[in-house]
Amino acid sequence: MNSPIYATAVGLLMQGLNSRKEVDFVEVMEDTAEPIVTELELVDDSGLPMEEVGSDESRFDHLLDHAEEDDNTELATTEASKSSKAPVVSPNQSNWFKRWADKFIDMIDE
Amino acid sequence: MKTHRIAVGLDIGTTKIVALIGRHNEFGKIEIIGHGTAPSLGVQRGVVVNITQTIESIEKAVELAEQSAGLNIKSVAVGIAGQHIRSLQHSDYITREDAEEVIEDADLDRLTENVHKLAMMPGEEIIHVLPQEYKVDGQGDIKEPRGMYGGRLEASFHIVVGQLTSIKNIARCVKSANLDLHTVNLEPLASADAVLSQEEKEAGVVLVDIGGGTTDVAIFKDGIIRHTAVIPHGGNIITSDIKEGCAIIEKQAETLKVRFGSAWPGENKENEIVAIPGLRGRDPKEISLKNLSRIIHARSTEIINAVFTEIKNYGYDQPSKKLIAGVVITGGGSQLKHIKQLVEYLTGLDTRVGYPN
Repeated sequence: MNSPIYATAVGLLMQGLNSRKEVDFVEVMEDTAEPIVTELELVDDSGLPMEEVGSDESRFDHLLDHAEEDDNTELATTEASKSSKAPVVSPNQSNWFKRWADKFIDMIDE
Repeated sequence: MKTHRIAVGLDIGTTKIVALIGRHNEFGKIEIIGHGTAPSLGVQRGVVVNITQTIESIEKAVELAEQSAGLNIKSVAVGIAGQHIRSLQHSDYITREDAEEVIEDADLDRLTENVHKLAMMPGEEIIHVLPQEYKVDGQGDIKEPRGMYGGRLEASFHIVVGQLTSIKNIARCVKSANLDLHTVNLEPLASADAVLSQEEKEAGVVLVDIGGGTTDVAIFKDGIIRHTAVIPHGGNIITSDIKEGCAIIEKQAETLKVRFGSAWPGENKENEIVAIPGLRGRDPKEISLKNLSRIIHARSTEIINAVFTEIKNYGYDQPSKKLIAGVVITGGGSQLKHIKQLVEYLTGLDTRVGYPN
């Protein structure tokens, strides 16, 4: 603001400050800024949009479905019919890692 | 804790629009708390020629200033310039009812209101009524009549007049940008407030604000404004001359002026050449810096001679009107190389570049 190109603007500001006219030049800005919400589109490995997932639990279930498909290759036909249905998760099965571990142990036993 | 008053200045210039938010700090200095600058697209030679574009530029500058200060601007002090501005001298008086009472602000206001009633040319309006010297019951050379006794209060005034349509156009742009117009001030007076000291005003000084579209002149002597003028040429016409003279586009001409331009051709050698890229694959254009300076010198000389004519109109060669502090140049044009030397050479007056202080 010390440049000569701002001389007039600074002078006008000074005249405003020294004016006898009592006027409020400014008012405090209300904090109306809303949080910026950016909608992210989830895509799978092939780049196609994925269905929206609601909670952490359902997100884990989605992973669990894939894990079941990978681990039970010999039951592919049966599992394929299961995977076409919407996954139903009971409350006692919420810990997907525990379930996956149990199935892994069963497979080794067999 | 004392709260400092905040004000906003809005400079609607030919090349740029600047909004400044500021206040006095505890040391009495101006503190800038927010600023915004936007290119000015709807103003030519200090006059609004495109309302829509001017409103957009004002809104942009104001928005930037608001964001940087975290404040909403409601009202602004705006500047006015342009060829339509003229000034005149006038004397007026009032007779006070009770000479046993001391002169107060109300008496001075009544005297000023009298001057505001003065009939102007059709389409003109008074912008400023600036009292110079007072006389109380015939006793002259009084600068501060408040507190004195007297029945007849006289004063000489410097009146600044402008075209009503130009003032209305500025007012409309400001209103349309959702702002209130606090005051309209003559730009050379505003620049003078920013760059001149009281000592210079007392000694006698010429303020020359070389803007994009206009060159504003204000002459002070004995601490009082004596003469004001607006010359309808500024830095833009120099750019335009370079564009025509060198057959290049305006953007290149502006860059040449700022980076290599000089108002004194003697400083450049004949073999100093600058190459300008050709348009759309054409060969680069070679421009001699000596020629460039000659173009700048010719137009700068014309502008400074117009300023000098105003100084002569004031009568600076009379002993009582001597301008001891010489010339102070400011504005974008003052940054041109060797412009200070050219002003000194043409006017014979001591010159300095004025920075807002």
